[in-house]
Amino acid sequence: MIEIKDCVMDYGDKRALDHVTITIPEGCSYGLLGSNAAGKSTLLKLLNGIYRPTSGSITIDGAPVYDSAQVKEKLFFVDDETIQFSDMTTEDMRRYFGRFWPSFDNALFDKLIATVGLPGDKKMHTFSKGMKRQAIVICGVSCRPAYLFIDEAFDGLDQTMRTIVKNILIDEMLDDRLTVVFSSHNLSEIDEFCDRVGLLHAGKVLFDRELDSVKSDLVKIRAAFDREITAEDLPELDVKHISKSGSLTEIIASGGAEKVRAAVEKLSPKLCDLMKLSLKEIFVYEMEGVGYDGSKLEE
Amino acid sequence: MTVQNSKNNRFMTYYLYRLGRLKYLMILLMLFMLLSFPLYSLFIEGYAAETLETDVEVYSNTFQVICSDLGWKIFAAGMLGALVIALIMGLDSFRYLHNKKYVNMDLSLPVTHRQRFFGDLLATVTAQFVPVLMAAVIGLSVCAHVRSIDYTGVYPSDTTPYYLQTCAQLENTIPATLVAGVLLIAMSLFVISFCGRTAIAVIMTVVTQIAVPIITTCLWTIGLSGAYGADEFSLMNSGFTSLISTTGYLFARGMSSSHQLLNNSPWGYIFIAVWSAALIAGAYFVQKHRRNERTGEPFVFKYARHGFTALFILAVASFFGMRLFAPEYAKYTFFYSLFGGGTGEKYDIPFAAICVVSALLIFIIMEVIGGGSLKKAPVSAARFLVTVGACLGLCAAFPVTGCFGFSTYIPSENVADSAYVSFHNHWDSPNQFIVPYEEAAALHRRIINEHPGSASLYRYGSVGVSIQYIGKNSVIASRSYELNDSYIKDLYDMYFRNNGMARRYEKPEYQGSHERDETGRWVTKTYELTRSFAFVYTTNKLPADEAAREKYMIKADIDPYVLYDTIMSDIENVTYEQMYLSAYQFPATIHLHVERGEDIRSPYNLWNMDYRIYPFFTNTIALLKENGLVLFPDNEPDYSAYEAYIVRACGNENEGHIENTPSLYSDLQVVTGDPSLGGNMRRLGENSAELKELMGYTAEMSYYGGNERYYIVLIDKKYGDLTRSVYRYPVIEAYTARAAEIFAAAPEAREELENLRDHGTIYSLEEMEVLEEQWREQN
Repeated sequence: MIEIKDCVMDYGDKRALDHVTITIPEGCSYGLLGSNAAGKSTLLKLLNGIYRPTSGSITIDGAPVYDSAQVKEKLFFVDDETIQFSDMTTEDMRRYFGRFWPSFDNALFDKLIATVGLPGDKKMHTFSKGMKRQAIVICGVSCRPAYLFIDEAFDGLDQTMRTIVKNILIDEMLDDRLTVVFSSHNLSEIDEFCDRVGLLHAGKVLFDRELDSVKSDLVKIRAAFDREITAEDLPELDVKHISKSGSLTEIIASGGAEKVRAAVEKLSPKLCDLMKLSLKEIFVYEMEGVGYDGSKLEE
Repeated sequence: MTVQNSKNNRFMTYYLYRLGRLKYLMILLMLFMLLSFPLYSLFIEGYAAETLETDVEVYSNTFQVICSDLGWKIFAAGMLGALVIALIMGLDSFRYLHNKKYVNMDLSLPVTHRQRFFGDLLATVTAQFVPVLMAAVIGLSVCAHVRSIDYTGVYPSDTTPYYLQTCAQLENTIPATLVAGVLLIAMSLFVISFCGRTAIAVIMTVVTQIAVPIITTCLWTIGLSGAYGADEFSLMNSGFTSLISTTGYLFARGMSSSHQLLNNSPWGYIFIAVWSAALIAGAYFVQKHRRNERTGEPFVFKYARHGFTALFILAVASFFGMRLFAPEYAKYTFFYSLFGGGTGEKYDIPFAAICVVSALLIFIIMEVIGGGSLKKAPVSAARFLVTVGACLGLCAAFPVTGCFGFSTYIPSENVADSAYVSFHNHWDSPNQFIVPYEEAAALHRRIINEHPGSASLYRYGSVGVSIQYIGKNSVIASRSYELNDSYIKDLYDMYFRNNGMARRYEKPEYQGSHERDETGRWVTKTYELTRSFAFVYTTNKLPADEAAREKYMIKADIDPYVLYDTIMSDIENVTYEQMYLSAYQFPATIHLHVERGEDIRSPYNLWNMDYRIYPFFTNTIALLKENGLVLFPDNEPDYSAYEAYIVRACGNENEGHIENTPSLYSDLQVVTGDPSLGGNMRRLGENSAELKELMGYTAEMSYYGGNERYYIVLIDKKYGDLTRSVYRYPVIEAYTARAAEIFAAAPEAREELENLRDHGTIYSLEEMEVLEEQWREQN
């Protein structure tokens, strides 16, 4: 389990993380969501013991991460930058990671390398961006860590490459009790992989919930009424949004599908349809109340 | 899920990984070291073989040329390349400190800070020293072979062949290289721990290596100027401060003959080891508390830039301060010649301008590269002025505070048990006496108390006192004081007058050196006399040839102990004025030929000693006269005798000459006497008894023996007794002027005299006879 308690991280005068508290259970697939400069990469580096928090604590399985070799052996960080491996071939990377992670699985590494068809004797700087990303993800997965941290896993990849990398990760997530923390500003990636999502904005955690509960809680209903309906007509609901388009009124409220539907039907609509919300819509409406512009997130 | 590694495994894994990364640099370093040691050693061997004409085809004249010139250049290039590679190795090992792209990769590895730090350090040390040691082994093997070459018969026995000297120098570079490498690693590591960019790390490392020895040298020089009596070289070259940087160490090592801590005690190397360990420990803790997210910024700590700026400005300020506060000392540093140090002016405007501009440039550059803001001009200007002011204030603090108490430092009896004391005065060449600690300390305290204030730089040849305290293995402290004549007289009277003069006369059993006794005190080495016998003679005017010398020896058999005691009794009554005037007097020198030991064939058993006997040693003169050796005889004739040698005729190689007179005297050629005296001019042969007597009167003179006759010219003393004043130019000039007066009556002789004076020639016998005839005719 990952526990981040009241974590503050300053870069000089600039506060990158402001009293962040998050708990990530073991086996969870956690999506760290936020726009650029939200603090996602900073948090990942703290989780990997690369940086030391200004204050607060970060523990993994009860032990502090920073300056702990035993804890770090259970972690693997897939950085969005791969320039540090430019002069290495995949074989060099196998040897490099194999040295430091005793759980490194050579068979898995060979299998995955063969699957994606990466050459073993060419240096990384000759690879495309997607190939570099594949290589480092394969290394990470082959280390058999307990915790895998991926920073902007699919950023800059085309659809084909995304699919390949996704498949690699999904296979591992299914087979092992692997805890994965993704950082992304792409909602669809989070939607696809994550059980739980946390939203960072300006260093603060605005949102930290199970994705299913998020999805199930917020409901969109399209209904036709004889009259103008406002939020005051639905006092028992937490109405996020009401808008009228022609004869149809669109209501977005939290509380779960049944509760919202029941409340709307009390108003005797001529027509009442339950609609599926996209994750982006969920975030837009959820974060509107706290002043966060969810439209910044990509879908 | 994961298999855990043990601590040791992790450390070794990391260390081997780092070492593997350095393998190419190691190979490169090995190539440079091979150039430095083994290749150059091979050049030496080739040169040796060539010199000794050994039958080795591969060695040709080319090696000889290479050895003498190109060899040293290649050696120097190899060492320089090795230093550069060593720096690169350190930067590569600790790349996560200054290269942002490696921060995530290296710091996410499952190793602790301690494992990482020491793994990187050990890998750097291994990568640097293994090539050095391998090259050293190969080079030493070659040098050993060179030493085994038999050069007897080719070189004179008292000559060390060039290539052996070079071998010795090469062998000395090996420990120096290792020590310099340790200091380089330690200091570079400490500096780069504060830096966040590669370029900044390199610049700060290099400039710090330059700045630190400048600061230590200049500050200590300033300190010496304010530390009353400090020897100008005692701290600069022998102190710990010269050993805190690589460049300082190499400079001190280059002056190995004078660096006490490196040559005479292990403390220099112990200090280097402790200092290096302190720097490495400092680097460890700095890196431990460093914010890794600041890698990529020029400096990782908030005030690091200011610290480095202050350090570099201090280097400039201390250099300027040295000229300002210690101008007389400044010329004793090697920086003197670099910056127009010929004038000795205290305030040298161009130099001051250079220093101010340099400091300002440094400040601006550091502000720019460090991310400071010159836009806030008033703040920047204030910071600059405060920094410079603080640096100059530090420089001024040294002389003002007497080097923080150094000026009154007298080593305690626990560390110094004896001392060398030298009195430098007008009457004597400096003589060094070994005295007990208490005596030296009492003298020292008196000088400090009675002559407080700023020190005056002691100059060799001036009047003063030098005190060197001696500890177990080396000189602990050294002070010199320039004092006036009356003060030195008092000191000498109080402490060393009679003792000092007495110390110049060694006891007959003296063996010629000093040693430490079981208590560690310095005592004279003595030899047990088996026969008390002294063969005393004077060497006044003796030819070098042993056979000729024998004819003129005036020998006396005197118990050496009796002689010694008599001399001591004379010294008891010597006054200061007598000693002062003795500089202008000729003592007579008597030689003691002392036999001791069972085996008289051993050169150590026939010991020659010299005693100077001054005219005021009345008891001694009387003793010698009783035994047939007349010094300064009572019936001194009315004339003085000078030599007149025949330049053109001397050529008998069987009779050489003793030249112990100053050249000015040998230029004096006098060929005439006073015609009015009638017959005072004589010609004397070498067998003349009268000549022998005259030799007793004319000390420290020489003559030519030759197959031509020589002349002794007798000058009536009413013209001045020049015997003991021959060193004085004015007297000689007066004499030659007087000689001209004498010849006023004989113009042709006068012209000849002037020729003689100008051209340094002398008359032949026939010419002299003509002149003599002329003068007699006139009279």
